[in-house]
Amino acid sequence: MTQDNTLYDVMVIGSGFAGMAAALFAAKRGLKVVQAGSTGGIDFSTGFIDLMGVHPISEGKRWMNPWKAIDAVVADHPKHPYGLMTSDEISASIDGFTDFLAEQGLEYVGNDDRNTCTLTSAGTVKRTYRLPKSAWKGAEAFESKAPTLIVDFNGLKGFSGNQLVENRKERWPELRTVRVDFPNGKGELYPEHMAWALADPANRVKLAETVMEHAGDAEYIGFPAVLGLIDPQKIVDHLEELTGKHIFEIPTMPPSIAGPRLRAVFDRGLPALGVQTLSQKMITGATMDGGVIHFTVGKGKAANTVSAKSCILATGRFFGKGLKAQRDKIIEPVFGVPVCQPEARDEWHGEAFFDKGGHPVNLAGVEVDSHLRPLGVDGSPMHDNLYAAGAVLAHHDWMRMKCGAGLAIATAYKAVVELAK
Amino acid sequence: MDFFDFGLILASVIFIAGAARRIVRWFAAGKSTAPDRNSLNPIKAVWALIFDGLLLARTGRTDKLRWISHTLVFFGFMGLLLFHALDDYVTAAFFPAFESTLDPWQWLRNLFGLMTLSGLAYMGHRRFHTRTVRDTSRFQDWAAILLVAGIILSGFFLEASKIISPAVFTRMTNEFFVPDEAGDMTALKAYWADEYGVVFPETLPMDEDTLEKGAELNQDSCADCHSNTKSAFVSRPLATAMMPLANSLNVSRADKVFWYLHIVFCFIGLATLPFGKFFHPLSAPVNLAARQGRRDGAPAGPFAQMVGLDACTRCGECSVRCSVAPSYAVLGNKDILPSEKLVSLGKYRSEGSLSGHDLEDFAQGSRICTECLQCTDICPVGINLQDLWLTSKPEVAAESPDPNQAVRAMDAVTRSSGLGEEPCLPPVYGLADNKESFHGCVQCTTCTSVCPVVAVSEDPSTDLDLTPQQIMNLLRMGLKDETLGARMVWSCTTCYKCQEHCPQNIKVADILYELRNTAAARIGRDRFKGEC
Amino acid sequence: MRFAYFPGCKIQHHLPEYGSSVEAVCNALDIELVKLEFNCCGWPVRHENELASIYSAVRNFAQAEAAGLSIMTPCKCCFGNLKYASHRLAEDPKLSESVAYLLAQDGLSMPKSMDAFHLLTILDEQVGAEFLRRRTAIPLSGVKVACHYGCHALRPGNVTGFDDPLAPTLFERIIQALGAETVDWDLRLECCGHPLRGRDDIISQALMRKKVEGAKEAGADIIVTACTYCQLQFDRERAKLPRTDLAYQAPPAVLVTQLIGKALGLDAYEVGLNKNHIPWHAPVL
Repeated sequence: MTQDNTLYDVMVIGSGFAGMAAALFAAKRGLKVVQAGSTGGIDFSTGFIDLMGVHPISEGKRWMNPWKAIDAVVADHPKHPYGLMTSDEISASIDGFTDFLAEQGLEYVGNDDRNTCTLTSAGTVKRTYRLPKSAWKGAEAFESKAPTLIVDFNGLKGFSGNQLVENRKERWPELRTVRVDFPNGKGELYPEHMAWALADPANRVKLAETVMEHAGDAEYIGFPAVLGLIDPQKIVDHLEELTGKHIFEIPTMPPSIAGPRLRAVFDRGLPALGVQTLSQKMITGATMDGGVIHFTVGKGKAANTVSAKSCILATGRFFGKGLKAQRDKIIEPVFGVPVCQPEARDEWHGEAFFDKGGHPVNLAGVEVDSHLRPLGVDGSPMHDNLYAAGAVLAHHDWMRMKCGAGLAIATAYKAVVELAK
Repeated sequence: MDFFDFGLILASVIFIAGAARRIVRWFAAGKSTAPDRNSLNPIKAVWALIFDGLLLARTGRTDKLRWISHTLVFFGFMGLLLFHALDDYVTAAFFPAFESTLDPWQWLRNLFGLMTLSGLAYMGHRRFHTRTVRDTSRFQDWAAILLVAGIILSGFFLEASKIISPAVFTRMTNEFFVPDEAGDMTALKAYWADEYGVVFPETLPMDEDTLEKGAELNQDSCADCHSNTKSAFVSRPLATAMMPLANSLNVSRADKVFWYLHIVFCFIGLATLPFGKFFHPLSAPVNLAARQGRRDGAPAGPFAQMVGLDACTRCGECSVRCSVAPSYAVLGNKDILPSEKLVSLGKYRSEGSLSGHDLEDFAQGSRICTECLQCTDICPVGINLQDLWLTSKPEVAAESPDPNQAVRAMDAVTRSSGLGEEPCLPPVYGLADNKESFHGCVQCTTCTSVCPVVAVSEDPSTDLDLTPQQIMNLLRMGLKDETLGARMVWSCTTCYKCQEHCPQNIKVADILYELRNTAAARIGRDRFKGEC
Repeated sequence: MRFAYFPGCKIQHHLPEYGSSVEAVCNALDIELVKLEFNCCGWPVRHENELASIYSAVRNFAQAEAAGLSIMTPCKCCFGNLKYASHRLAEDPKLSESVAYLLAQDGLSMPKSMDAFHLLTILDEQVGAEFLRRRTAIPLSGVKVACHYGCHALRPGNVTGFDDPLAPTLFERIIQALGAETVDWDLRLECCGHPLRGRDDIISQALMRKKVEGAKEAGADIIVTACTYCQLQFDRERAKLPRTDLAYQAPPAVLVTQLIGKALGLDAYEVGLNKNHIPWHAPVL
């Protein structure tokens, strides 16, 4: 790579939900965007866009109306990131995000005023705000308790039709399961490989034939989410045509295929919007130079510098490497933003591993002002043009609250709005 | 039947038998399988003989100094062979007044001898100072230089010892000189001592009158057959240098000793001609004619292959410029270099196989070759090496297991101790043995999910034994030896998707490379003085 | 523009049309190619011994530095290994020591700069798509092209720095500049399978099959390669299949320099299109 001498309007660090959304919203506003970040985060997504599902987590209270849940959580935790924006902004952010996905051929559906109940691979029920169209019929089937066949495959781990049926059969007597051989697949199977295989129509015909031997009176057939990598809807439609049944997908255990599907959309779509992507590049340093930030991209001899007028930090938490846990403290590695965290390591975790209330360390992150600008040691913004979005923010436990993608998209949207002022 | 005839007959018999054996092999090979695809175009063949053979055009392309030195040796030696060794048949036939002691022959002999020697001197120098050539020089390479040098040097000493010898002078005067008066012999001796460099035991008068008289007598009786030895511009100074020892040399008849020496060297030369590289003066022209000036690696038939194997002059030019010579510098296996691989291939072909380490070395050399055509393009005698490598590669691969098959065939215990003569240290990179390499691994299966090899295998657990993520898991647990035989390690296509997509930045593909390196080191004999 | 031209080992005998078309195209675009006495890049021996591989690569850098030039190679495996070698030396002082010792044995010293570029990078950054568009005499309009990226230039991205390893665009930019249409090919970043030739021919062929059939599925007329090994796999190896085989009938593989050469108006012989084992009958040209 040669030295990039462009002065970008905004550098987005991160390529998970928040990073992708920030790059998208900034590019849609006509800003010159450069985005850096390594894979990981989004690859582990279920593909569902949760807005808000559980509060308070210690009671495990589930909400059907995400907006009420947001109000409740902000009332109890004023510092929760959702408290930084209006519901109109949140709504607009999700719409903007899913519109883009639809443009790229990955349609998302859901209701504006309530969550949708959908099945997980373990047979539990998850409330989510937007789900891929290829999973939508599953929500219909769940609601109507129509006769449904869940198909699983010999050799595919992390998806058990038996467990799913076992968990649901009391209230859904007409739910059945069957385990079949995947066309041309013996031994261990992996979702991505199955998805590639199903790109071949001949394999879909074979699969349909195999499944129809067991379908009986089922109106719906649910598959693990392996129905195509690039264009799942095409494959779902084809299977519906072949079987005459309603077909839907249930996400497999992470890393499921839903993540790569999302990533593929952004890999295709962002460069087309003029975003300069630096996939797989770690930002290893940043220096402030008046109104410009100079970023060091990469390490050692291969490192180069990219400059931007502003920056959105969307690096995620621990798995995304946005926060680094050292033995005695948690740090933010790019800018050295102070991390809001428990006083001592002993307080990071509670006694019980599966404590419903989660652990204090799950609320760690960077604190921001009302413009989503990370705060320095003195409590004022570290830099006029540095913003943060997504899981790196403090005061939320997205995993237990079920607000991951929604919070990431909404805070990214808000950060871009603030930045564009 | 004197010594000379006996020696000549013996050497000729050996030569004819040896040459016949080799030529028969060419034709025998030619009958075994498909015939040559390239039909012989006589015009092109003659053209190649003149340009590539006589004028050494191919050598000139790559190395001017080598061209000069070989041209000196070639024309010098051929000159001596035709005008001196075969003078009765060649020179005398063309020049009826021929006498070997007359100019220009006397002068030419010295010139040819000096040309040959200076060419040989450069060859020896190159063999010693070019590292790759020195490393690959074998007994026959030095022997060839020394033998030809021996022929020439013994010839010069023979001539010099004859110049100073009064016995030779007396043999000639007994036959061709009848003195008219007393003092004639003294005068002739004085003149020959003064002008021709003969060293007489007695003291001779060196006054002007005597010498003038000697000159007249010489003009009448000797000059028709004897040019002044000053035209022997190598032997005469050599004779002058011998002066201090002249008397003892003359008494012991050194000229006879040198004659025997010279003849013995020549006979050895004749007898060894059909063996090893000594055959190249005969086989190289045949090969050049057969190649008709081409430098490509197009498939040739077994006849051409056999001639090619025999045509090698062991000049080492191919090994100096071999694309994979740096691998030889590290691995120390000479069979990586084409000139040496050719020797092994010759053995392999003639003996039907190689054994033990010789076969392993040859197989590794064969594996590492990238078939880049460099050696074939460069070969001064036009051997189609490319064709030899391409046809022998699968043959030897079938006989000697590559690291993949070898490791898979071992049990875990053998695998961990290795088959090398010395136990191996961890490889330089040491990723697989370093806990730091895997501490981030969360066994998320991303590497396996993106692996195209897992994707196309019908059943990963039987086709590949282990998936990438399982290999990483075994390494995390310190079970490196268990992974070495897994097909996945050997069926990795090195596309690097696993490494690119790993959320924890684990160098999955680099580690698989390293496992292959480890296995290769354990079955091989690593000669590099470092880790393996 | 002057570069030390690094054809790699396979071009001269196994894929001469790549060599001739690279030289013809570079000549037409005023890129001067200087031929030095290079040795193997070290990629094939990397399966056997890493040090041998790195040392092979570094010797070439030393030759190029002595000539004061950067290396330009049309082969992605050569490019990848040259990049890998310089990357490894920068991070491992112990390895550097061994390599320095070996260099000293040859009377060479460790090169200070190790610059290697792939031909596509030069076309994209130095020549530029705009210039190519202007110089295109016969636009390839209507030709649907599947760009095959080739693993060893693309990945690992932090080592090669060739393009975005997950969403590269460079190849398409160049092809579009010639007036051709690039197809959206799901498998464009996947492996051709050639590195497995001789080690696992079954899987090697399966990978190739998947690729070429995917290109057909994507509606491509041709697959375009910019790597010696990929082309060998898609052309020479594939040509060994029976003609009735679906993979044989999938879009033929054409070298990027053959395509550029055609667009620049060079004739088919100059770019060696007659040498391809699976011919491309281009109706539009």
